[in-house]
Amino acid sequence: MVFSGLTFLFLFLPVTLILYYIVPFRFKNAVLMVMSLIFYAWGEPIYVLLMIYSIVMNYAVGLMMDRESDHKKSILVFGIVLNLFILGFFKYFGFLVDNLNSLFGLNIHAKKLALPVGISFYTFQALSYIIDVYRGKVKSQKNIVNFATYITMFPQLIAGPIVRYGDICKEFDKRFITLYSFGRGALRFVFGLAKKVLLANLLGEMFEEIAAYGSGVSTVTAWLGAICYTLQIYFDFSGYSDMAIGLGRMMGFTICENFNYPYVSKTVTEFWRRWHMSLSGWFKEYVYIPLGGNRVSALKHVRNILIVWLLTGLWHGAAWNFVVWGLYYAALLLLEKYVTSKFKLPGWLTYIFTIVLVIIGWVIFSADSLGAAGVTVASMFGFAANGFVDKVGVYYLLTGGILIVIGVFFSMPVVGTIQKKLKKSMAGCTFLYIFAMALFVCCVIYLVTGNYNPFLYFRF
Amino acid sequence: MKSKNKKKKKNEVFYKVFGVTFGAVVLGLSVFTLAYPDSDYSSAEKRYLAQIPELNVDTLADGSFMAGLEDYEADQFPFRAAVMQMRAGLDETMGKAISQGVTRLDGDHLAEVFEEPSEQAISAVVNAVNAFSARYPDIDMYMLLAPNAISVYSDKVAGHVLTDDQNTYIDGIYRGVSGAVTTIDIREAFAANRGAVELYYGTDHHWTTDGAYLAFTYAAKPLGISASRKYVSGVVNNTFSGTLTSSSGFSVGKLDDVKVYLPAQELSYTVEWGDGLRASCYLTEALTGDDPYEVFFGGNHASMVIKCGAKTGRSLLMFKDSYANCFIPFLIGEYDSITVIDPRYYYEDLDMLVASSDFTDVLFLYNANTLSTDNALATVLNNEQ
Repeated sequence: MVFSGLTFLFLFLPVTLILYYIVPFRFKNAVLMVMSLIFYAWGEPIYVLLMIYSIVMNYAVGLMMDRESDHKKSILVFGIVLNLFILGFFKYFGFLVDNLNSLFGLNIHAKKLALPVGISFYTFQALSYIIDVYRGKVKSQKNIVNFATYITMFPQLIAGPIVRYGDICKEFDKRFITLYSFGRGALRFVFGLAKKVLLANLLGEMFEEIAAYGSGVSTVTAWLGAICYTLQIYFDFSGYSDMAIGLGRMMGFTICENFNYPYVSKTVTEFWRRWHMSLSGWFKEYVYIPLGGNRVSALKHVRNILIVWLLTGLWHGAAWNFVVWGLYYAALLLLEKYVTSKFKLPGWLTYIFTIVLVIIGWVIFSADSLGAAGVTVASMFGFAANGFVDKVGVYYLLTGGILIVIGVFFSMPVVGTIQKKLKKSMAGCTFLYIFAMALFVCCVIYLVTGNYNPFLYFRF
Repeated sequence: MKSKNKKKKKNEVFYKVFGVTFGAVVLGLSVFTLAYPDSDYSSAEKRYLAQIPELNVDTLADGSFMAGLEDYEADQFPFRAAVMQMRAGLDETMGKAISQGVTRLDGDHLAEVFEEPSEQAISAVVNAVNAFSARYPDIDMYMLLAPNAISVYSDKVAGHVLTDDQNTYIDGIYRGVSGAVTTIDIREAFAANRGAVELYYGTDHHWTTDGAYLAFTYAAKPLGISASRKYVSGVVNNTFSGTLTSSSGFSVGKLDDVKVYLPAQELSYTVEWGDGLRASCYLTEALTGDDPYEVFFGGNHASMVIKCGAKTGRSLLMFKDSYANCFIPFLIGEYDSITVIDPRYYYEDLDMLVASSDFTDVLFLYNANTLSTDNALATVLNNEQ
């Protein structure tokens, strides 16, 4: 199930919340776990068994590391290998076979498995748990209901944020569920829903329409398409995170922030401190730092960056354009670290460089193939089949211009500042209240009538 | 310290009030959606609405129950028609100019945008017509390709709307068909009368009966028939909301009138379609139904035969789309018999039909939008069933 659907809003959510609030505290985790399993099974009626297996396995690994402290390391290795094997088998096996076939001219038939939704998210959560238990950072969870609640918790189950066990484990035993936090969570949820339904879906529809023109575009059209996708993926992804954080808050949980206005970054390094923070944080904690981080020789540092970004790319999907996208960022980060940081450039210039590089990154990310990405980038920089501007470009500029301007505005930190200011006065609060309710009504209108409502993370 | 507390308090009240409202709205809408009676059919959208999906192990395992439930929730949402209108209004406010291939001419008129077909598609039609006319050199052939509102009122289309030039397309077809086929070009007549006559429905993709009559008066001469018959025209339905509004969701200021022209002097004929023989080409039941345009012959049929004791010595075979439905009544009485084929639904042997009949005339009557996306005409003419 996804949040941005009528079944979720008007069936699953009210039933879940009512059950959750009426049962005594000691049953709340169980209610959340059961409802989360239903939530997952709604979209993946078969793969829910795989998730249950993963829960039991990681729960056992955590307990065994406590009991068999002499064999702690081998148990951890066993746990990591098993987790990665499941992830690898379901996510990368087909890709691997395809590449082996084309590389060696083989003809291995591999049945293409559908990727279980959210597997990358919950596997990473489970890994963070067993590694942190091994490191002694957290105690192992004795109560399987609590552990299952951690893995399955529906707000962040299918599209993140990747919550680390240590950040949330205390709340399984004690958390505050108040009307105040419910209201805060609801507001956050509504804003997230609006980002997804009113901005991301509409921008995505425009991107798809433009993408259908393939290589027969003008420079203006190519830029419009790239900008649409850039905004779409931000509002889609950060909207999901907002909804997750909001839903968590409504139930008394504190789910970590995941986005911090990434499109105002002045360097690529800064961009990755602001974009999908829970994923970059995860890689930093469990891959980059264990490899030595940047406190090693330059050569090893280059190696570490390459490994982390190769993995980051692959995490987003089993395809070459994700690999190239990851390595593209590795190259940019290294360039920033070893070359461009030596020059002092004005802020506005580095801002433009960064946002253009990020947009090119999204072109690579969103393209069907590397060739198609190359054609789009070439079109953006003057080598377009239909010249600088054509009828299609003008059409989308005039019919989608308002949406893009609104999108750019809402991706800026000034939105947060305005919101804070509004909350300081009665009039501001009233405005915010009316605005949020109007957004919710608009979301419902678009969900009832809308036809374009994709789930972008099925490859993650 | 005091002011900080006060601020926190204001905040707290705000969040609490918002929380209560949100909870009430979600719960209220959930209950209301469940309690709201389901309907089978949406006349605004002209389609059947999703019903509660069947719940069993199979539909659960393959996820079709879940997908079906989402469709059900959307289709059976309370006041769906009003919600659809709000959606289209929001879209238009945001700058959307084309919805499902429909754009706006003005407050009361919508029009389908035109997409120029490929050259292969054009030559497929042209070649089929030419081959057919070459096969039957003794039959007089005519073609009337009606322009659509988008080209007759092209000046009313917003400059940036993506639509191709229909004139180029019509010219291309007319140039391509052989000299044995007389082309009837009504575009000038339409351009001259576009201010005085409501040529097209504002909410539907068809031409009006007035538009069809104008086309008929202009076509009569090249067809070699008389246009002197007197008609009495009248509005038979004034709440017509056609396919353009239902598919685009765009709202218009007023609904359309459907007119019929009845001969001043009664004309006796029979019409045969499906399994019935009728004495009228009008189906009055359709006027109370969802698509009053079906008052003309009850809509499209694979074939129809209209017999009239006119003793003109002429017998017409017509290949047509739905534009012809309100045009054909003007032809009754000008031919002894009129055989009407809608190639989209026709699966018989055409050559056998021609061989067993004594057609003197053939008329191809299409509107440009339909012909540009059609491949049934070529299939039927080539007898490829």
